[in-house]
This record gives sequence, structure tokens and C-alpha cells, in this order.
Amino acid sequence: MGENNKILLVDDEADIALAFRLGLESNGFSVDAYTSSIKALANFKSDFYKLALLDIKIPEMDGVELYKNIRNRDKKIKICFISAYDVDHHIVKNYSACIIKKPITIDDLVKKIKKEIQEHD
Amino acid sequence: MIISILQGIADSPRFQHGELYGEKIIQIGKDKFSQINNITQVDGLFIVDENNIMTTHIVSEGKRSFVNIDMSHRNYINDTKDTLKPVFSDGFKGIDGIFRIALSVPIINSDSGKFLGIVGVTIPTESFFSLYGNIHDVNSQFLVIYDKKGTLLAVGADKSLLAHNFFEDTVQTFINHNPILTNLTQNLLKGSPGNATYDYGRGERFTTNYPVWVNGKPVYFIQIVTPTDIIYSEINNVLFGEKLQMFTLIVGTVAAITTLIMFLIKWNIVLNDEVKKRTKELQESNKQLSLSNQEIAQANEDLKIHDKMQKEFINVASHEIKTPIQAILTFSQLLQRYPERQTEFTPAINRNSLRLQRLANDILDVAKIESRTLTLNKEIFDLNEVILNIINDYKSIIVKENYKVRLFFYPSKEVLLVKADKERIAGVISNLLSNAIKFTKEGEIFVSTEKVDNNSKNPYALVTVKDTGTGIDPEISSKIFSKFITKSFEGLGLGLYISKNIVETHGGKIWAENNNKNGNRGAIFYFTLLLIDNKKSSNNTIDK
Repeated sequence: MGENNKILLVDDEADIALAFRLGLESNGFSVDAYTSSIKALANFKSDFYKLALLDIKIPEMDGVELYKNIRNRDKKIKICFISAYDVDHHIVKNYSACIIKKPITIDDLVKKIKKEIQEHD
Repeated sequence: MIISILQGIADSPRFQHGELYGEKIIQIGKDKFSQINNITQVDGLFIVDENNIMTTHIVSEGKRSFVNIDMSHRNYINDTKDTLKPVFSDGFKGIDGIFRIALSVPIINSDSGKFLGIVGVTIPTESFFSLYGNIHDVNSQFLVIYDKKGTLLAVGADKSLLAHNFFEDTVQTFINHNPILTNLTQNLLKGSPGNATYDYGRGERFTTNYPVWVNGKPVYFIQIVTPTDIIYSEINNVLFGEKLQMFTLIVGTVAAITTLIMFLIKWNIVLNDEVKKRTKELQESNKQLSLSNQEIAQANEDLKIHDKMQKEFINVASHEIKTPIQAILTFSQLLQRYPERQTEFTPAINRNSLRLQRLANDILDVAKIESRTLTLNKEIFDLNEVILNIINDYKSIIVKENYKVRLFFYPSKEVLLVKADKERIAGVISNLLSNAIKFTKEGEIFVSTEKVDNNSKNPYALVTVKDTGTGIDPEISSKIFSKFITKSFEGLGLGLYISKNIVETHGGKIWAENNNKNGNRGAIFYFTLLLIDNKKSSNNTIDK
């Protein structure tokens, strides 16, 4: 794992946000988890996170809008969408982001994140 | 015709041999007399020899026969003998006083050219000419016939003038010496046709001359005399007839045209009615077609909506199922890794398991509703008591979850006994309350019950859940009780659909509205349940 192991996690489901945070932290990642995209964006710092893990269906501001805002502010950050909606994968396939389908085990999630980070390093 | 028969006699073999008397001749004479009488009335057939002696005389029955007498005194005998040609005689009066004419033909041997005698017939003029005109009726048209001398052979005007010469005083006196008629008659006797109008004191007459020509010579002279009043009368009659005919024609034509117009009007009315009827049928048909098209369009639209909803349902269901699974899966893995944090992870697993269970129950309930296999376990209970328990549970949740919502319950004064499926009714109330909490981030929720009697035999309980939340989105307000209708990011949108079916299966009603009065906000949900008689139910507390 490189020096930057910071992950931004946004999921409006509190249990999911908590579970993923704990799971990723147990695998050596440093995770800032939010259930509100507005708050996540408000606290976002450019060149701080290695990867953002974004749910798509989020109240107030959905994952796609959040992606655009983050990308505007940070060109280098890796972004992955993670969703339980099947159709959402078609919505985001044209964006420069990986797609992760729920449900996923912690081990598989970690593998995907590491792969994403390594591929773009 | 008569001349031809006489000529036939003269040319017959016996006559050609000069046999002019005897039984054979009499027989021939009788045969020919009879034959000629079939043509016109003759009263004698005579045969005269070369010396003018009558050798044979065939007469009508009852008439006197003269034989062997000399006929030289008769001009027509002499004329025939002299001319050797057929003769139409002038009029002459017989011994019996009957005025006659004679037609005579010479008998000439065809070989020698020798004159052998004469064969002829005598014809009473009155009977003969009566065949050719209305002689006796002076009030109408009649004939006057003259011989070459101007002797009257037939007179329609006055029979007493018969056999008199026109130029005699008798006739002239009769005609008052009328110069026009005299002149006309003179011209006639000269063989000139003509006509004149005159009046000799017996009314105006119109007379036309017709000479009768035989072998290039006029032999008789006919005047057709017509009293003009007859003409005028007939003209008037004709005119009247024509006028009447014209009038009849006009009346008939007008009647026909009127009938035709009436028929056309009637036909037009019939056609008009038919056109109206057909137009109406066409309009009706078009209307039906339009309705059918609208129905098809609506069905198509419904199908599209249904298809869209189905896809949306699969997508949402996928999310709703996978989300708690994801939580359970992750927390289970964390629990394996960090068993010491069991108290931290187990509630999350439990919470998401329950969420998954609710979801499964909702889907199963919808399946039961749609397959009409939803069964109710009815029992009698106090609605207020059930609602109070649910309120208390939710108050605990609100505190535990730190919701900024205050929950109030205003039960009715009366006990509200209902016979219903307690668990299902509790589900309806929970659904309405959880929705109210979900859409009221901060505010109040008021639950109230009341008994509605309205003097009816079927009093019912009215349950109201009012919140101060975001209210019902106008986009979905008309179909809020339909499947998959939700504005929430959580849930399948089945809760209100299930609640509606449960309430209606109990014979109640459920509806909703936004609380827009007096600047308020939020939504109000109502549902009713039929109440049972308290007294009747006192000994019957449970009835499953």
C-alpha cells in the first residue's frame, strides 16, 4: 500500500457507511465516512484522498453530482461508485470511475480498491 | 263495282251470243241482282235487246216486273246505245213514282263489235244516296245530289224537293232565290268544285261542291251542306273540349307536379331523416372508435407505465434487498474479525435482518392481495389500546434514534371496539406513523381517534395521523395508495398499497390530503373501521 491510504466514503445508509468504514480500517485504510453528500463535499480537501467510494442514490445530492464536484476539485483522486441499484451502473459507465456492486464482502472490496489504486499509480 | 258486275254480265258467253232471255238468263240475272244488292240497294236489274225491248227484268220482292216493253223513252237506254259505253243516268221517276237513277252497260260482241243489247240496274236515289250522308237530319250536315241536268237526286233539307230541278221555281222559292247558292250550284253542274257560305232564310250554311267523275265526265254532283251553327257549335264543343282538356291537363299537370313536389318533399324528409340517422350512427361509430382508440392509447400508456414501474420495482427491490444484506454481510465479517465488539455489531445485524424481514413480508402481502388470498384473523379489541401501544413503541424509537419529532395521541372518549385482524391493523397504523416520521425531520405528529355515529346503524372509528412534515408530493398525490409509489430513498413503496387493501378488506376507507389550511404544512392520513356494539361484544372478546 502506498503512502496515501485515505478513503472518502459516502453512503446514506448509516449501517453500510459504518460497516464499510470499519471493514476498510481493519485492512489498513484511513476512512472518512459520511451519510450526507453535502457534508462530504463541504469537508472535502483536494489532494487529500487517494480514492472516493460513492453511493449513487443519495438524498440532497446524488453520487453523480458529487462525482462531478469532487472531480472539479481533484483531478488525481480515484473514484469508485458503489450501488445496489442495477440500472445505476449504466448511468455511470461513461464516467472515469470504477463500479462496485453491492453486496460485496470486505475482502473483495479491499481487493477492488487496491487494484484501482495500483492501476492508476 | 256495280259497273264491273254489269260489264261481267255483258261479257259472259250467253250474253255474247245474244241470249238475253230465258230461264238461264233469269237465273244469272237473279244471281247478279242479289250480288249487286249486297253492295247497294238496287230495285231492278234489266236486260234490253238491240231494239230497246226489255227482255228480262229482275226486281225486288213485291215489286212489279216489266218485260217485253219498249224502253226507248228512257234516255239512259238511248245514251247507252248511242255511246256504247256505260251510262250513269240522270234521275227519272218510275211508273211507281219512285225517283231513280240507272246504271247501264252495252252488250257488245267482242268478236264482231256488234251491239246486242243493254244490261243495267235501277237504283232508288233516296236509299242509294242515304248511304253517303245524313240526308234527313236538317239540323246537321246533309247531302244534296244533282244529276247532270240539275235535278235533285237526293235532298237532305226537304224530301219534297226530290226529283225537282234546282232551277225550278219550287226549289228556287225554297232557297229564296239565293244567288250565292245558285251560282255555286251552276258552277257545280259545270264540274267545278268549290264552296260558299250563304243564308237563304234557314240559317247560315256552308256548302262544298264535289262533282263525281266517271270515265272523264261528271255524272253526278254532290253538295255537302253544313249548317254553320253546327260547325260553330262543334268548334265551340271542340274549343270547350280543348279548353276542358287543357284545363284538365293543367289541373292534372299541376296535380302531378304538386304530387311530385310532395313526393320529393316527403322523399327529401325521408332522405334527410336517413342522412341524420346515418350521420348519427357514423358519429356514434366514430365516437366508439375514438373511445376505442382512446382506450387502446390509455391501455398502451398504462402498459408503458406498468412496464416502467416494473423495471423501477426491480431496481428498487434490488436496492432494498441488497442494502440490508450488505450490512448483515459486512457486520458478520467484522464480528468474526472482532468478536469482542459483538455488542456493537449485533444490533446492526439484527436491525438489518428485521428490515429484510419487513421487506419480505411486504412483498408476500402484495402477492397475497393480488392473488386474493389475504386472510384476516379477526378478533374483537379496543382500537385505542392498540394505537396507544404502537405510539409508545414509536416514542421509544424517536428517543433512541434521536429523531426531532414529537408524537401526540388524542384517543376518543369512547371505547372503540372493532372486530378486525389486530396485527394487520397495527401494521396499518405503524405504516402511517413510520411514514409520518420519515417525512417529518423536525416537527409534530398527532394521532387521534373518534367515533363517528351520524345516527347511522353502522357507526365507525375514524383514525387520523397528521404531521407537520414535507406533505404529499403533488406528483404522486393521486396515486399515493398505488404500488411502488414513493418519494423516499428507502422502501419499495408498498406500505400504503398494503394498508389500503387491509383497511378496505375490513370494510373501511383510507384517504389522505395535505394540511395546507391556515399556513400549515404536512400530510393528514385518515382511515375508518366499522365499530361493533359494545353490549353485544361484552361476552365475545376473541373471535378468530
